Parts: sequence; structure tokens; C-alpha cells
Amino acid sequence: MNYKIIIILLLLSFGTKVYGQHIFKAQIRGSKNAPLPGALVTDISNEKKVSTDEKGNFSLTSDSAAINIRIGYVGYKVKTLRLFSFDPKQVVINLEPLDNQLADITIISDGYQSLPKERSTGSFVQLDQSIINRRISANILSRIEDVTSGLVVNRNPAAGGNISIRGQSTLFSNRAPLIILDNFPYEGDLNAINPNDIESITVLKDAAAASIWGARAGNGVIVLNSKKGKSSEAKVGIFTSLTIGAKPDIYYLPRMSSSDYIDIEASLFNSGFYKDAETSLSNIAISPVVELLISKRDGKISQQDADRMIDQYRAIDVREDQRKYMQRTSVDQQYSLNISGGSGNSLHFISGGFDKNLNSDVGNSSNRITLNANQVNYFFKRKLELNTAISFLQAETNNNNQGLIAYSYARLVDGSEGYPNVTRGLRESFKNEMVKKGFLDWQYNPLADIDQNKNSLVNTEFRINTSLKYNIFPFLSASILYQFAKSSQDQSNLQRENSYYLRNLINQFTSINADGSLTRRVPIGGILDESIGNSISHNLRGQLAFDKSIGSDHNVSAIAGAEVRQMVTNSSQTRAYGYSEEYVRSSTVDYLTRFPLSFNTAQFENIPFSDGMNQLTDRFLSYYVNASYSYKQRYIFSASTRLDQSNLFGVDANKKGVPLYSAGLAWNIAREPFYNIGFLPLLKLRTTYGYSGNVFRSLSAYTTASYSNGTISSIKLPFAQIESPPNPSLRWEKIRMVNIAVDFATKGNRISGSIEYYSRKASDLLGTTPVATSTGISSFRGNTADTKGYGIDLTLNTQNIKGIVGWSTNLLFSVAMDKVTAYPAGNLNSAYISGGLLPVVGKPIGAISSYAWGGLDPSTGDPIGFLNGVPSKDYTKIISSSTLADLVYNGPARPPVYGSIRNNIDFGPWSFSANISYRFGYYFHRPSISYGTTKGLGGHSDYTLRWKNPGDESITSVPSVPLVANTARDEFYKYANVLTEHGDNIRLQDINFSYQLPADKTGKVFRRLQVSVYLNNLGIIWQESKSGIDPDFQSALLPKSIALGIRGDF
Amino acid sequence: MKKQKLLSDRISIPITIALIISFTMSCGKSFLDKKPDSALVIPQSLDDFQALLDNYRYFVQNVSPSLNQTAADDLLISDAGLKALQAHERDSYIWSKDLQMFSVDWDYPYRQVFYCNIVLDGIETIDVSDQNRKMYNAVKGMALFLRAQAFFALSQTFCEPFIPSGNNESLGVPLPNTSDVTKRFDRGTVAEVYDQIVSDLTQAVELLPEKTVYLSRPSKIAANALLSRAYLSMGLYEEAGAAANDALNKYSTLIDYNALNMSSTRAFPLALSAGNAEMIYYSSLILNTFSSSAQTGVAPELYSQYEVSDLRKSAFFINKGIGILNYRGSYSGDAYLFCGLATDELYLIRAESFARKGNIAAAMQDLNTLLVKRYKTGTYVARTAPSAQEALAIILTERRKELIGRGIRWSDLRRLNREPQFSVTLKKTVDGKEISLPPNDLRYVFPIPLSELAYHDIPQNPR
Repeated sequence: MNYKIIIILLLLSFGTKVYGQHIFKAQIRGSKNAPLPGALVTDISNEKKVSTDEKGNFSLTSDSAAINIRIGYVGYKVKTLRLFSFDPKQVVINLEPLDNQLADITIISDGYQSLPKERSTGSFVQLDQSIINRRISANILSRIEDVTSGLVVNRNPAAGGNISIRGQSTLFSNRAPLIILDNFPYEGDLNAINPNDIESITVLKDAAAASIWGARAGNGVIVLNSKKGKSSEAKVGIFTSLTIGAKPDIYYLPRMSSSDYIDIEASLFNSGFYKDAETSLSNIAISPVVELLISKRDGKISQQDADRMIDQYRAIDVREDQRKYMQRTSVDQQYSLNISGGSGNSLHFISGGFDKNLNSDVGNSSNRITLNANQVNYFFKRKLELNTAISFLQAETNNNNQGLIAYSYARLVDGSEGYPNVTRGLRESFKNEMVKKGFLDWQYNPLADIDQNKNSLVNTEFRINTSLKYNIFPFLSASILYQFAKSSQDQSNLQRENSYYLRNLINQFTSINADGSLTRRVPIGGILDESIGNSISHNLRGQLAFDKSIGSDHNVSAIAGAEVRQMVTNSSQTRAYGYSEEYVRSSTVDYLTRFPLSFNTAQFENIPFSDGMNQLTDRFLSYYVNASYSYKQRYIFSASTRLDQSNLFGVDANKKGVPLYSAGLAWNIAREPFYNIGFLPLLKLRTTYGYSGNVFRSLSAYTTASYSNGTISSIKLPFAQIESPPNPSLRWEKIRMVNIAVDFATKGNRISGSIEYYSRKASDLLGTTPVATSTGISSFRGNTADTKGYGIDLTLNTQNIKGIVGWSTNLLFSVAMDKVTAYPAGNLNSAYISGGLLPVVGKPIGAISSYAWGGLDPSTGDPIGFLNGVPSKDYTKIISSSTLADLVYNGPARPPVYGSIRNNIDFGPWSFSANISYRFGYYFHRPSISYGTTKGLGGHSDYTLRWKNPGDESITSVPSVPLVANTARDEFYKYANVLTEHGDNIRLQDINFSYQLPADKTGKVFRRLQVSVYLNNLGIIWQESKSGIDPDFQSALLPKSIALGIRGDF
Repeated sequence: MKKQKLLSDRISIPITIALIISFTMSCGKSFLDKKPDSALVIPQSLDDFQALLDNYRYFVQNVSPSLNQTAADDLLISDAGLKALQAHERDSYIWSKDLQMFSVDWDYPYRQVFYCNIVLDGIETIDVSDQNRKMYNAVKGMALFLRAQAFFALSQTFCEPFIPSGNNESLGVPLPNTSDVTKRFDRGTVAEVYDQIVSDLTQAVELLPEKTVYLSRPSKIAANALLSRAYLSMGLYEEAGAAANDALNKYSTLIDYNALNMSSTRAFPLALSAGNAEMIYYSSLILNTFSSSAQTGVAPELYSQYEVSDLRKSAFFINKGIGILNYRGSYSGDAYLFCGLATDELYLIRAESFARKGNIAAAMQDLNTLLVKRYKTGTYVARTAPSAQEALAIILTERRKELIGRGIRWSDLRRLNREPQFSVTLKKTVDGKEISLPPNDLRYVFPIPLSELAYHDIPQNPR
């Protein structure tokens, strides 16, 4: 300490010696605005160095009026900037922390308070700017993926939920973590938040961390804090990026060739399969090849001509046209600008962002505008703090591309003739006949249709946050927080007059009068479907915070408060027929009469009516207390309790509320006098215990019903429908969690990290049980299930090489095991097979089981299963009567082991970072051919591998085409063990190259300029399964993308 | 002074917070009573119960099991059509021993029973007064009627026939009488099932109004008509005739088929909106591929029994030129097959009852009253019978011809197979091979769906 003062004195005395020199003074602050004493400040022009004093202040002299300085401090990024001597006010310079190096001075925020991680007992993951900005993407979710210990983004929808933190506890309730944006729950679309506006993300994982959020915290909590003004220094930051994504791989899902398709159609035709359609009263569509076969049979076309035309179709694959004309490379652009600054008693931050995204589907795009402004004002010598923030967001998504409905040999573009017709809906001969009678053109072409649809979703959000905090005493403050949020989702779907949908609808409701004139029940014009959703929420919170040290050994800090929350969502849908875009008007239609349909005058239908409205109200009333006590900064004890009440429908008042609590203990071993492990300056032991809960909205203790207006009823009377049967014993779900953790860091943070073990017991979970339908219902949902889980989260950060070239590694490793411990269910196995959706006691939540496989029958190519241990082909019996014990249990559907390894290399201004993620120990059913009643028409390309002749059973496991359609056989094969695959994979997720312009090259304008190139979705580098199917993207791969990003501060 | 101001500043905010807390606590009760979804109701009022029984999906459309119609011999499907059927329909049609029951035929009636039980349980909490007695009785009667109808439909599909002289201790079907879905009921006996049906209907006759505005709501007449149909299936002909008589005494209109417009797509109007003079109560069969296939038509052996001047030949059937006579005669007026109650069936029941008692004249009079409306004006020759036995044979033949497509044939086969002179071995030709179903075969009882057996320990029907 002394020598620093001496240096400063020396420097000061040196400075005073030189006449006419400019003096530069500033304060250096680190995270949470804490002053950084001992930071090294270098005048770049002459390499003159000074250190900051205890308050983080320094002063430099120079003969020029402006100097470029470089500031260095352990654990922070080196910062270069330009100082001006005439700066009248106190200049504050904030340093940016380096990744993951500040385990002991990180400030964590749980939405109620911010506290140093050092003083916490719970399990938090803090993501700062450098991590959040590493990826270039438009949504916040991708910014936390693969960098957050214990959090996994589930890409396989069958596994349920989108994000899960430490596996899954609930079965059928909401599985999504609670999102907190600026102190209050955020119910909007997570994708709508602009990641450029987010300062920090805190993930709350254990009971002590999350229990402050009580009954909604059972799935973990993700706390997002917006950027705020940090210093009075005026700053401008910009960011812009351009991302180009490859065209999606349309051939990823293997599909049978057109030639196979046509062969099957021919074989079905020969067996008389299309007789029914041919003679159908409803003029069902018949594909071009079958039409040719009919003409050939009826002698309307010669054999040679028919065969020649059919052979032409064999060469066509509609996906070629689809890829060529309906898909494109995607282009995403991002622009973001922010301005911050302030004066002594106020700080402000203003930001604006614009995103534009052209989707890989032609006709689909999205854009987003975000605006944020916030300000903090201090009054009465900083006793009173007023925060005001306002934010606005508008995101528009256009989905004009309605996709493709066609057989595999359809043509979308036909040389110069424009758009060829694609058979759809009704038989062409019938359509042509009707068009001759005056019906509207009845042709369909998916490409032509793209321009005929205008489908947009506009999401608008508007939030006002205000808080008033008064420091009554230095140790006691009181605050009131209020948030008003309004969001609206306006969906508008205009189907123009020339869209196939509309022409088809108008034609269907056209009748031919005796004199040959036509009566159109659906007016000519477009259809405009509008759905408007509005939700308005109010949040009010009053909180007292106490923080006092008694003597040097004791510190007590506590918060207590109450909050009330209401969210009302109104939605309505309307449809306008005969809509004219030009004049913005519509016409009336007769909804009440059932009209005969033109394609089958024996069939009567109403004109589709789709108006409706709805109102949902969520109300919560909560009280909470959270306190911690620390002794000599060695022992920390924390406890919290919270009572939540909500307006759950029809539940007895005493069951509406659920009290939840937690307790935790931490021991800073490294601070003990006896501790003398020099190389391990940080060693902390933490343990917590507590409860959190889960909310579900759609259940009630009483019989509930909903009313429908009588539009669809033949007697036009309004009627009611039972929504849920009575359930008098309905309760809230409860999750108990124990967390034990060690935090450690070696000297100089060469190796740091934490290892956490947790165990979890969830009880009173809502379980949906299939029940005997003689009760009148097919499934019953009640508090009937329990689950149990445990896991490990390991975070390890190493600085492998320090120096000119820096190399660091961040390793995340998580184990998340779960098991169903109670679930009332019958003994029917097939329910467990199909998708593994029904929980099985003793197995993980979401387990993959399959039918034992006995190969193919050498004489018929039928798949062989087992019934009571004996080979059998009685598929119906196998599916229906073999018990759970007869099934092959494969394993969990979600990866129990997952994590990532990120390597970062720095070389001067250059940096390189690559993230490899891995997932192990899970299973999936690979898709294959399912024959159905149409011999597998249009199905999986495994068709070509099918058993055809005796002997094939030794080279293939794909069953033969069955002689008689047999759905049970398909079902058996679909879930047979032979199709079960390991999901284990290692994936190169992304690579980031960055170049930060050295301070002397940034010129006078920029304080900092960084250029990044970012490659994403680079693909699997190893996988266990040989199937070629990405287990995490089974239906479509995410295309590879490359992004260029520029970030500048000035 | 200054100090005091400071102090008041210091305490004012905590006081505000305390006020907020106490305010939220005091208003908490009503604050939390707000319904989360405004569209949800707890059914409590007679209007709510009526609305439940007007449910379009389960009651107005009023879908009844239809696989037995597929298994019967009135309608046949071509080999090509058969191939396009779902497995359960195909296996029903060919009387396969491996039939896996499609659960809708079981689930729908029980869903109806569940709704009825919610109404019957809920209605007990309503105080009856002079103001609401009429509606109370109508709603309660309707719930009893609908429950009986559902149990009756189940009995015809999943139980052995009732034998008047027997003890009827073969397996029945579960008869839930409460809305508590956690209770399970075992199969009981066939006797118990019919006891329940008769008891529900007898009460319904007392409670239901004489007349209703909508064909989907039952009246006293409908309750008598259903009672008559139930007694007939039980072989209690005396009672069946009496119940039919009670109904016909109040309503006996028949449509004169000469007035029908045969050239329109369907000869009969849309019953629920335009009405149908013969109809007493609307109900329809579950729509399946078999009944809607263009490859399904009337059995040639049956069609040949309609005489040349019989208007039903064109009212009921249409030839689309592929050699199959599709059935188009549903009283529903659309693609749904009518299986509700109508006066024509009541005439036939009463006629049969008379014939079985030996009252030939009355029997033939009822039959002729009906048939004269079915023939071209002036062409009908009144039927006569030298003996009661012959009268019965004529009536049964005419019954099959008149009630085709109504889901009644299967019940009649089960009932008549017990009488040697009327028992038949059903025969169909599938892929060139003849298959047959002997009288009283086990396959006259459908298996219970596995989805029920998996969660409910009750015995399966042997097949």
C-alpha cells in the first residue's frame, strides 16, 4: 500500500515540475461500479505508467490536451481510450471483466436484490457481456445455450419443453423456466427480446437461489437485466451484423423415389385400391399417374403413350423444384445503437435496435424494432433513488409460404408455360367440367400461391418500469416497484381472391341453378382472418431491505416484501369474407344455413365460421422474506420463505396458497486462520435445502365446462362441453432440492470452477393417467405422481497459456438423472412405447422402450416379435398384451450427460473461440417405412431396402410389403428395437474469430472497434448412431450459417 | 423541527409499504376469486345442465355404435372397398376372431353416460319450485333417457342377448351411476343392464314433456318408443307392443313416399333443421368408412325383395353406374345414418306384438297402414296372412326392408336367432371365398376394447 502512495506522490511531484502541462484525472471502476485500486494506467504515447489509489483514482499529466491511455487490471479486459484534459467533470472509466475469472466478486441478481456471489449460498450462473456477445444471433435463447452450466436446450420436441435447467422435475405442468426481465416475470415471447439490450443473465438453479420466486420457480429461473447507464461519461455503442444461412437440406429426411412411388401406385391400381376414389360421390382427387392408368384401362389412351408419360414422371422429384423455387439462403441483419451518460445525479441509457431476417422459405421474413430508455435519478444526497425505464418492441413475422402439398413427381415450374397444375383436393376431370360451367379456375400451384397469401404476425410490447428507493438509514432502505406491461399479438392472414384456398372454398360453395346460372355462397374476394391478442399486466411490489454489519465479524442482510400481480389476456378472432384490399371492405355470408357442396351435392356444410373471443386472468399475491447472516465472512447462513396465492379456478381458498421455504449454509474455508493451502486461495463449501413449486392453470377441483355458441350445432343452440371432471383433492406441485457445492480457484485463477451435486424430489406432481373409458373420460389428471432426480454440474475454467498468446478453456459438464417414483398407470405397454410419453415407475421421465426384435421371417419378410418369450407374428397381441417386462428398455429420451468445451485463444488483437457441445446417454427411434393401407406410398426411402426375396433377411431388417394392410405390423416395426438408436453425439457448435483494432489504430473516433466472424451450426463431429440422423434435429437440420459482426464504442 | 421532518420522511415509506401489504391482504380473498378463464363455468344451473345435454358432439349428433351395422348383412362392400377399410371395420365385416375393437363404439356411449351423471348428480342440488319444475323435470328426464339410450346401445354390442325365459346372468357392461370418475364398476349381469335401462326409461316417461321443439330433445313419446325398442330386443313382445301403442296413441304420422322428390340427391330433408314427419327423436350412427364408401351397397338378396312399385327402391338406393346400389335413404337427410326413433318402427313393433299374440287382423292392419305409404299410389295390395305364424314372417321381412340402415338389424338377428324358424346363418363372399356366421355364434358379441381392459380389470368377451 505504502509504495503505491509513494509512486503516486512521485508521479504527482514529477508532473508538477513540468510547466504548462495538462492534467488528466479519472476514476477506474470494475464490476458493479466498484472502484478498482491498483489498476495500471499507461500513457500510450510515452509508456508512462501510474497506478490508481484506494478509491480507484489516478491522475496523469501530458503536454498534449488529449492522450490515449491503456488501463490494465487483473481479471479485467485491457481497455484503451482517449482522455481530454478539459473534461470538467469527474471521468469514470469502467473496465469490463474477463470471462469467468471473477468467481469471487461477481454480482448476482435474482430479480429482488443484487448481492455479491461471495455472500450467497445458492447455485447461480452468471453470464456477462463477453459471453452474451460471443454468439451472433437474433434471440437471447441461443446466447445462453451451451455456455450455462446445467442448462440444456432440447431440440427434440418429443423430449418436451424447450429449455430445461437441471433436467426435468414436472411431468405435465409448465416445464419452462421462469423468465424474469428487469425484476418482474416476463410472459412474452423470449425470441422477441433483443439480446443487444441485455447486460447480464443470471440463471438460478437450486432451491435457495430460486425459492425467492416461489411457486413458479420449480423449473429454475432465468433473470435478465437490461443495460443501464453506468457512468456519467457520454458513450455511444454500435453493433451491426450480417448472417447468411445455407439453404436447408431438403433431402435430409429420406423419402422414396418417384419411381418407387409410381410403382406402388400402379400396384395399388391393379389391386383395385382406387376403385373407391374413382367411384366416390365426393370426386376425390386422383393423382396424375393413376388417372393415366385409368385412361389406359378404359382404352382412352394407348398403352405406349401411357407408359411413356408415366416414365417421364419417374424422373421428377418435386423436392428439386421445391429447393430451387421455394427455398433460398437466409439473410439476417442486425443493427443496434446505444447512448449512455449522465450527470452527477442522474444516469441514462438509450438504445435502439433493428433486425431484419429473410427466411430460408421464400416469402417468409421477419423484422424487429426495439427501443429502450432508462434513467436513474438521485435526490436528497442520494437518499432517494428513482429509476424509470420505458421499452418498446415491435416484431413482425411474415409467413406467406404455406408450404407444399404435392405428390413426389409434381412439377412446380414448367419451362416457359409458367405454373403447372398440381393435383389437389378434387379430381381434375370434375374440376375442369365445373370450370366450363363457370366455376372459378380450380388449379393449384404452390409457387403461385406464395404471392396470394399475406400472413403476418405483429408482436408489440410496451413496458414501463418505475421504482423508488429510499435509504431510510444507511442500513435500511425501502422501495416500491411498479411495472406496467402491455403486449399485443396481431395476426393477420389475408388469403387473396386468387389463392387456391379461396378459389377452392368459393367453388365448393357454388351451386348450379336449374337455368345453368351459378349461385356463390362464399362471395368473390379475399378472406381476411385476424386474431388479436392483448395482454396487460400490472406488478406492484413493496420491499424493505436491511443490511448491517455489527462489529467487524457480523453481517446481517435481509429483504421482506409483498407483491401483487395481475395479467389479463384478451383475445379475439374474426374473419371477413369477400375482403377487398383496395377498398378495405368485406361482405356478409350466411353462416347458419347448411349448403350442399358442389363436389358432392349430398353433403351439406356451413360456411366456415371462425370468430371467437377469450379472456384469461392470472392473479398472484405473494409475500416473501429472505435473510442471510455471515460471521467473519467465513460462515454464511441464509434462509427464505415465500407464500404464493393465485386465483386457481375453483380450488378451496386454503389450497390456493403454497408456503415454500429454503435454507442454506456456506463456509469460506480459505478464510479460516488455519487454512494454509497457498495454491488454492479460494475454497468455499456451500449447501442448501429448500422447496419450490410449479404452476398449472387448466385444472380445477370442480367439474368445469365451457360454452360454445351453437354455430356448429345442427339445432343452432349454444351448448356446453365438459372441460375437466371434478377433482376435489387438487394441490400445487412441490419440489424439494438439496444442493452441495464447492467453489475453488488456484492462484492467479489458472484453474477455477465449481462442482455442484444436487438431488431433487418432486411430489404431488400432476400426472395424466389413462383411465378406463367406461368412466366417461379417457384420461385423468391429478396430483398422483412423484419423481426423483440427482445430478452434477461441473464448471472448470483453465488458463492453459498466459502471455502473448493466451489460451483458456471452459469446460461444462452436467449429469442430470431423473426417475419416476410414483405414477398410477395401467399395465398396457403400448402406451409407453409410442414416444415414451407415459411415465413408467423406476424409469426416467421420457424413456425409450421398444419391442424385442426377432428378425425377418425368411419366407415372407414379415417382422418377428416375441409373445411370452416365444417368436410371434401376432402383432396385435404383441402390442396389446405383452407387459412392460416384455419390452426392451433402451434408456432416457433426453441426454442425462451433457455439456460443452469452449477453447479461447488470444493473440494480441486477435481472438479465436470454438465451442464443442456434447450429449450422451440417450436414445431415439429412427424413422423407417410404414406401409399403412397404401403399401407405403410416399414413405421413407428404406422402402428400397425392403425384404423382397427369401435370403434378403440376412441383409436387411426392413420388412416386406404386407399382403394385407396391417397397421399393427407397422406399429410393431416402428417401435421395434432394430430401429432404436443411440443419441450420443459431439457437435462443433460454433466458431468465433474476432479482431479488436489496437488502440492506436482506432483513430480518433472509436474507443474500441471489434470485428467478428461467426460460424454456427457446424454440425456433428462424432455420433454413435450410424443412421446419419442428427438425434437433436430429427425432422430438419439447422442450416450452417456464417455471420460478420462489427462492434464499436465511441 | 427539521429532525422531525426527516423522521416523518423516514417512516412514511415503510408506512406506505405496510399499507400496501395490509391492503393486498384484506382484499386478497376476492382478488383471488376471479376466474382465470372467463369462458369456464362450473355447471350449476338448469340452463347449464340443459346446455350439457344439448352438446352437439355427444348428444345432438347423438352418435351410436355402428360396427354392428358393418357386421350385419343388409349392406355389403366390394372386395376393393373392403381393402380400403380400417382393420377394425374390415375385421367386423368379415367376423374375424382377431377383431380389435375400435374404442369409439365403446367410448361414446360412456361419454354420454358421464354427461348424464354430471347432470343427474348436479340437479340434486337445485331446489324445485313451481317456477322451475317444468324445466327441472325435462332436464332430469332427458338425462335419464340419454343414459338409458347409451346403456341400450352398449347392451346390443357388448352383451349377450336377453333371454325372456332365462336368468340372464351372463356378463353385462359397467353401469356407472355417478360423476365420480375415480369409481369403477364391474360388468354385472345382462339382467342388471336391462333393469337399469327399463328403470331409467320408466322414470323418463314420467318426467319428460309431451312435446319438444327440437328433435334432438326427447319427449314422452320418444321415451315410450325407446322403451318399446328395448322390450322388443328383450323378447318381451307384450310390453314392447304396449309401449309402442302408448307412443302411437300420441303420434302416428307417416310420410307418404309419393310426395318425396326422388330426383334430389337425398329423398329426405335435413331432419334437424327441416324436420321429418315420421321422426320422434333424432340419433345417428358413428360415421365410418364402411357406411360412407361408394363401394358399399344393399345386399342383392335384400334388394330383390322390394317390389317394382315399391317407392323405397328409389328413395333408399341410388345406382351410380358401377353396379352397386348405394344406400341414401337416411332419415337424417345427410351422410349420417339415422338410428333414432320414428313412427314406422313403432308400427312394425306393434304389428309384431299383435302377430305374436295371434291377433292377425290388428297385426296386418298396422303393417298395411305403413306399407301403403311406401308404394306408388294405387299399386299397393294389402297384405293378408292365413296364420299368425305367416303374419309374423311377413312382418319380419317387411321390418328388415323398412328399417335398413338404421342400426337395428344386428339386434334383430341376435333376437330372432333364438327362434329356429327365423334363425339364419349369415354369408358373405370375400375375395371369391364364402364366409359365414352361424346363429348365436360368440361373434354376435363384440370384444371390449383393450383400452378399457388395460385400466379396468373386467373380463373380456370370448370370441
